[in-house]
Amino acid sequence: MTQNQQMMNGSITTGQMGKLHIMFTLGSAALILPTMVTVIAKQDSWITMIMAVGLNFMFLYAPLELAKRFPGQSLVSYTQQILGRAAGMVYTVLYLFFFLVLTAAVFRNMGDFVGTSVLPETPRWFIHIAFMLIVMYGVALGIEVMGRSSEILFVWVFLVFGAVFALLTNKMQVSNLLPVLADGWIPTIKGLYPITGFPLAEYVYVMMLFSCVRSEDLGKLKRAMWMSSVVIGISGLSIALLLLLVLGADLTLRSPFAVYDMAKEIQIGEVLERVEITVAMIWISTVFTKAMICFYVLCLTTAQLLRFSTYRPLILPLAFIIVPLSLVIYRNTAHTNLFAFAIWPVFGCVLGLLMPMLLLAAAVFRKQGTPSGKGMKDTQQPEQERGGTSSEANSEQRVTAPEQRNGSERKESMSTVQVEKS
Amino acid sequence: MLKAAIIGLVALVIGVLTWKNRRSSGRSAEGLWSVGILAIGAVYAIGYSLRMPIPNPVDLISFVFHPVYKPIVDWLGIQV
Repeated sequence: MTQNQQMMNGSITTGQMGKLHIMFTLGSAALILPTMVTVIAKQDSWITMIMAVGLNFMFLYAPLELAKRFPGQSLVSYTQQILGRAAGMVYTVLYLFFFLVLTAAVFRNMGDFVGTSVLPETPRWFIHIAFMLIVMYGVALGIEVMGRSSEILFVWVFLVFGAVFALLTNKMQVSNLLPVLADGWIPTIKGLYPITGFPLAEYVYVMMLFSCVRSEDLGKLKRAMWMSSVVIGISGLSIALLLLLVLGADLTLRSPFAVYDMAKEIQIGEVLERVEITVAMIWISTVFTKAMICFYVLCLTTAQLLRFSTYRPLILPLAFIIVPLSLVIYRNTAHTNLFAFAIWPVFGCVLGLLMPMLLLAAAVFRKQGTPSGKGMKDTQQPEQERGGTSSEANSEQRVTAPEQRNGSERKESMSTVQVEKS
Repeated sequence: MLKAAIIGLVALVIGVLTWKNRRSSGRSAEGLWSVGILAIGAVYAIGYSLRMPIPNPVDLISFVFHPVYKPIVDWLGIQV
């Protein structure tokens, strides 16, 4: 287990990382994104979803390259190594702000959905606090538990989506897709704009989580992430196609939670109806995974920046900030649309694409890290020689110091026993 | 008012417990940071419960990126 992994309370496999990534992307995006894309691209939104697959790779390129150059290190660690301590800390504070807003926005999306569609009589603050309690519990258990729970939920998510797909085949109308490219390619390309912010720019969270992938699995990380991008692309395309075929472009762009409204269409005789709550449960499970990852990354970034030995003492204090922030972050539906549609993609592209690319360029230019991605010791040795700029390195040195002392004491006692024997 | 008092009380209890726990582990600096962040959160939560105007990071982001996103929204031709 690497130094970072000790702080993160465990390590995950590349398969678990890939599944976490899929759940993260499907969480909230599956329910809200199709509406946003359909507003711009209309009945051609499915073509936009195909084009978005390429963007998936683009947004993951810099984090994957940085993970290869700095194996076992997180964003907080290698930014200070590349940019120097002061600039690295400023860089990390920007990401801290990003993760804070992202976590609050995910909680707000979930609260809006549950408060509007499932529990309209329940106060919003109660929904947010109840959800936060579960997320806090998950985060306290650590990354390994999150990875395993995502593996369980992953199967159920795809089973339910498959069942919904099968049950709606009798409601599909191919004429809803026509005319194809009626206004040319421009609206289809414009439809990519909201996708860049939501969910693509949010992929930057992987810069914190790649460091908890088992070091022996790091070689397979790129392949796992590419595979998960393909699965995300196919899922997004399936959802967009299904919405257009069942509801049509007009109904899809009017519905705030189109997938949930589409599930209301399922009716087989009088035997099978009102199954939309199953979709809601599945959606809540994906949003739960996303909220858990966002909150975990927020806690971890704060802990590493402030040189904590563990992130756990920060769970409750940060929850105290997130809950009220999620309640005030959007004033109303119009403000939600303005921020999610127009502002978040710009903000997200700066922090999710531009800054990681610049960081990678700086690492290449300053010849930091190991381009071949060899063992962790190769990258951490120079750092310690320079006096240790990494926050985890310092904090973990503090953590491992008593163990090392115990080890040396044990060696001493062993040697005295051997002397006595001789 | 009652809500604010409950929030304050809960924050106080959590703060004391966190501080004691960190200090007993010999990590007082961690305790200080945790209690500081908790205090910010508690002020935020009490401000919300008393319906006071509290700073919203979204407004800051909107202000900073205003010159960039406005032309893009016009180009997209969407009404938000």
